[in-house]
Amino acid sequence: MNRKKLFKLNEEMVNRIISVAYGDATLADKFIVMRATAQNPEIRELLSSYRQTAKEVGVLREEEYPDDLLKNVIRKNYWSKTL
Amino acid sequence: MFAEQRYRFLIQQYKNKIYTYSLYMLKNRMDADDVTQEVMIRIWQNIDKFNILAAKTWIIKTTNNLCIDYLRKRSIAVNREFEIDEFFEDTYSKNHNSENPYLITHFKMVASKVKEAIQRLPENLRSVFVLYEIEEMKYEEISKALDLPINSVKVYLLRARKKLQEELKGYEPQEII
Repeated sequence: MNRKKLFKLNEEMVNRIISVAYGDATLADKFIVMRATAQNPEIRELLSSYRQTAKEVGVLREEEYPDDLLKNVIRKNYWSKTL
Repeated sequence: MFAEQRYRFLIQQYKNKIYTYSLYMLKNRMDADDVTQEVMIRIWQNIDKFNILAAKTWIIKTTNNLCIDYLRKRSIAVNREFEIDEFFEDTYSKNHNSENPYLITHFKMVASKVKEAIQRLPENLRSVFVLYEIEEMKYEEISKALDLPINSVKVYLLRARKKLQEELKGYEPQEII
């Protein structure tokens, strides 16, 4: 594969960009994307856009199950089994 | 007594995972409460048969099956899609330590948009996305829990990320700082 083709914004490159943005790319993919961003502003922009989304997804946490509901369930389950 | 300890351990470990998954899948707090309680009841009913090391997969699989049942039932019922937003916003603000009200509002707005976009993902993509990105499960665990080949999990995750990007296109959060 020649260098121009390697840094072209095609489907394969988009997939690599997404993996890099979300932090689960292989070292080789990271390298290819980083080299590509230096040469292609379109790739740079796409990476930045995906990174922004990944960052916003990354701060989402698990929701907390309300304690009062939990106590009720545990009480009900325990007594139903022991009685 | 031993069974009760095992039960309490499992519940403490997985209650938020069950609840979060149900919320994202069902988009409704009351139904998510019901599913979570139902899963907890099933854990208790099966507590003596449990291999505690394989519990996570079993619990998520059970949660997923119950969510699918609810979604099927609901396809003929009223759509209560928007009830969830308020709840999500409240829990999000607890996760941020900032005391700046502008920043909190900003974070809440962004989180709300992202969560709405996640909720708009197709069901099969949403389940994989939530388990991987929010519940931090591994490909293999997701594959077992959802009865999908690992490659499908990877493909669904990629599609979900692309679709989410499309959903969020045009949404530019305002800079507050």
